[in-house]
Parts: sequence; structure tokens; C-alpha cells
Amino acid sequence: MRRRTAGAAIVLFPVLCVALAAGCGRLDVGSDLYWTARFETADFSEWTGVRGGAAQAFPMPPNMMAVSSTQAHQGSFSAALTITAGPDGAQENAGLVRAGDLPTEAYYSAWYYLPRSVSVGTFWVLFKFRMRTNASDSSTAGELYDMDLATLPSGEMTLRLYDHQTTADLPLDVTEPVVPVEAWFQLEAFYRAASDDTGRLTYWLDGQQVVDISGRPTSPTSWVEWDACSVGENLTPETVTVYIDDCAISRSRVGPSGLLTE
Amino acid sequence: VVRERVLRGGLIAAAALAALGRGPARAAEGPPSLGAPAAPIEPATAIGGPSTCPRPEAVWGELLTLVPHERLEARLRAVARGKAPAVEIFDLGVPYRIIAAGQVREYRDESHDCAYRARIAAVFVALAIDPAELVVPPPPTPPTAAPPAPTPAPAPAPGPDKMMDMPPPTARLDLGATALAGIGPDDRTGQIGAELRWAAGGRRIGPEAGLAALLPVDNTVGGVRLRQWRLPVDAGVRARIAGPRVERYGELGISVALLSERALDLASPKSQTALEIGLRVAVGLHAARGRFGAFAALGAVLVPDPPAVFALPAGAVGHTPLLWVGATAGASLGFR
Repeated sequence: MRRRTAGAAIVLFPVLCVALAAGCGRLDVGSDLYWTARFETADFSEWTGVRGGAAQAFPMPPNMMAVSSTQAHQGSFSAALTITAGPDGAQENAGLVRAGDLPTEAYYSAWYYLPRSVSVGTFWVLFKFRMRTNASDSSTAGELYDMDLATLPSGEMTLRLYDHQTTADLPLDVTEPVVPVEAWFQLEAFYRAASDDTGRLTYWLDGQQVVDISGRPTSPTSWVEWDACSVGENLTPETVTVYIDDCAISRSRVGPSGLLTE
Repeated sequence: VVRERVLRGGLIAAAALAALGRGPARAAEGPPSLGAPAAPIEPATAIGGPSTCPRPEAVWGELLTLVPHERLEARLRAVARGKAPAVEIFDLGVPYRIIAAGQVREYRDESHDCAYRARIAAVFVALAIDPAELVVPPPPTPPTAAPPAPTPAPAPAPGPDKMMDMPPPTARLDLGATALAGIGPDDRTGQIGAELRWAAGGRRIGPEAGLAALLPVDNTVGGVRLRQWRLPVDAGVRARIAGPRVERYGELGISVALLSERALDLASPKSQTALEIGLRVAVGLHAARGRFGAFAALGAVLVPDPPAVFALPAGAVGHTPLLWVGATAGASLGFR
């Protein structure tokens, strides 16, 4: 009997050793993402299918929006936002909108692709927060912060943060950060809507923090609108297309290496 | 209690030997006295050895209470080895050794009770110098019954051996409290629970298997707070080194743990389980060789490829511990 049990042990042990070679798997414990838009459905349903969501260009034409396979950050599709903003002083608009039903504080992330350098005459907004003075009254909506593109004397593109409360650009922590052309770049913001000193707004360009505004009110109410957009005036060339992909609203930082899907 | 049983066993055997003096075994006693009668055997020449506890003369005295003098001398002549004493006694401290008729036996007596040792030694000598004819006393014969049966029944094994040379259990069941620490570059955690372990096999090596039930614990992997459940089972081999008071053992085997993690703070948390496969080593002690005893063990499980913890948008935030070390202590139940 003892010989049999010892023999069984000797046979069993190498068999069990083989099990060490087996993979141990992955523990998928969930997600901090509140919402994403990857455009892999080849339409704008990720935006238009949620309350307060929209994908619109106006006036249209000449401005327009489309889902394109010409460029994609991940997957096969992205949103192509095209505006024609000549020197006539008219504001041209194409935007992807999430308004209301957003957390008081969250991280907002989107990837952008500029096919070429653009000379910005007046302004060109890519990333925008809006507010309401009365959360339940749409007529009280107003502007808050715009993350703009500007043109450096060298012809390179850079960022400007425009504060609609002060009607002026806010100084960035990083002087004239260069925005790449013909390459995807990520803009991410942390925004806490607060009417007291707990308000906060922080921006990252490709993972590098470029500005952090804190200790001051940001919005009179907790109502939040976030736009990934192309809104411009007096651009050269007049017609510009910007591609937008892999948009997310998250409870934690997305970052350049962040994943929106498994 | 053991001493009394030993003594009773010895007295039964001695009574049997005494009966042999009148029984059919006389033919086996060696050469009959055909010539001149043999000189009487002196105790000092019959029983030797350097032992002072028991002294040879004390053993001789006990022998005479067990075996008639005449028969004792005849048997000692029959097993004599030239000029060397037929019986030698050695005091080795707690153990003491008896050599009689070529048979060697060692007993243990921590109390150094020399009279007790002398009685035990005498019983062994009596059995050794005439083992073949040992009989159990026949049941009382009714006055009118026929003569007793010529063939006596075989005797049971001697009592002293059985009590003192008790074999180790052929299987053990250990139940104890266990505490584990998980160590890894991304995760450090502690767990407590209970462990049940079974081991079987021969004296030196055999299979073993264990199962632990651990309380859930909260920890953080890569900034993600998790509640962790872990149910490890393992199987392998156990090698033993038996000792007089403790049995030392070492184990080598495979550990497979069912690992369940649930995020505590994510926007959309969920639970998921994975298998954690590792190589297990352990060393331990059993405090007694009896049926019940205590045990204590130290163990470690190396997990070469621990499961990755994955959460969006960060992706793989880290791995569960690479190494589990732990200690277990509790009660052990032996089976024979």
C-alpha cells in the first residue's frame, strides 16, 4: 500500500509540474470609463445616442462632419470635422457635444490629427467647456474655457487657453507647447465644476501637463458641457479638416497609453 | 499504564516459559546430560556488559523469578557463544540495549528506573533464549476432561516491543490556523484563514495535499483598490525524518489557487476570477508520533506568472503577488 502511494506521488508530481507552464489568466476588474466614442460603428451614434449628445456642423454647408476611414488613431474610423473659415469675420462650427448628465468632476480626453499647419487669424477652438447659470434652463448656457490652437512665428502650432470670464488667454505652465502636425496628439483635461474654491481645470498635451488652474470657482452650477470641436474664424487656408478619435470621459486619468476597450 | 502492561506481558511470557519446563519442548533444550553433570552457571559469566542500570545481577535475579533455575541454566548453555556471556546489557542513557542469544533490542526509559529496566531486560532475555516454545497458558481444564492438547497456541507478539517501537502513522490530517503574506512588485498583502492538510504514504516519502480557506482582504494593485478572495489547494510529496519526539518533514508540490478580485472604487466595477499556479515548498514539525499531536509549518509558494489585474483605461495595472509565504500551526490527527 505504501509503495503504491509513493509511486502515485512520484508519477503525479511531474504531471503537476507541467501545469506550471499554463497561463494564469487576467483579472478584468472593471472600468473607470464613464463613456467613450471610438467611431468604429462608422457613425455618430456614440454621441447622438446619449442624452445631451450631439454631432453637428453649422452652417452646413460649407461646414460638415463625417466619419472617415482616412485617418484613425485606433481601429478603422475617426470623425472628420471640416470648416471653411475665411477672413470674413464669421465663426464656423463643427462639433461633437456632450451636455448635461456629466459628473461634477471627470477627465475628458480626445485624440486629434491635423493634416497640415494652419495659420490662425482670429481663433480656432478644439476643446471647450461650457456651463449654465441655471442647470435646468438651457437658455442660461454660456461659455467657460476654450483650448485653442494658435500659430507660432515659426509656423508651428501651439496651444492657447481662453477664459470667457476674463475674456483673455490664461498663461500656460509650459511656454508655447508645440502641437504636432501630421501626427495624432492627445488633449486631456480634468474639470471640476464648482462655484467655490474647489474648482479645478487641468490640461495635458500628450501626457504633459500644460496648465493647472485650481483654488477658484469654475462654474456657477454643476452642469457641464464638453465639446470636441473645430470652431474657427479667419483661418489660412480657409478650409481645414481636423480628425478626432477615441474620445472618453473617465473617472481616472486616461493618458496617452490609456485603453478605451479591452 | 505502559509499565504495567509491559510487566503483565512479561509475566505472561515468563509463565509460559515456566510451563515449558514441563512441556514437550524439552527436546529442544540442547544436549541432554549424557556425561558428567555440567558445572553451575555463575551469574557473572551468563550475563555481562558494562551496564550499571540495570546491573547484570539485577537482571539475573529477575530472570530467576521468571524461569526455573535449572531450565535457565540449560537454555543459557544452549545459546552460549564460547567464553562470551550469552547476555549482555548496555546502559546508553535514556536507551538501554540488551543482547541475548544473538538478538539485540533497545528500550527507552527516561526515568532511569533500574529495577524496572531489570524486569524488562529479564523478560526479553527469557523470550530470546527460548522463543520457539513460548506459549499462552492453556485455558483451565475441567477435572474430567481429556489430557490437554499437545500443540499450544502461538503467543501474541511481546508487549514491550509494541508499545515502545510504535510505528509512525500511515496518514495524517493536519488542521491549523494559517497566516500568509503576498509579496510582489505591484501587490503586498496579508491573509489569514484555516488550512487542512492530508499526508499519507510510507515512513520516508508519500503524497500530500492541502486546502486553505482564507478571509477576503482589501489591497491595492497599481492604484486600483481591490477586494481579494483566494482559495488555494495544493498537492505534492512529503519527505519525513522521524525522531523520538518530533517528526520533521519537507514538502514539495504544485499550488493552484482560485483567485477572485473585485474592484472597490472603479466607475464600473466587476468581479473576475483567475487561476494562480505556483510551486510550493514547506517544512514542518509534528510534535508527537502518537495519534494526536501538534504541528507547525512554514511554507512558500512561488507564482512564476501571476495573473495581471486589468482595468480600463489604465490597462494592466499590475500583477497579484509573485511569492506567498506563510506559517501554519494547529493539531494533527494520525491514522494507522
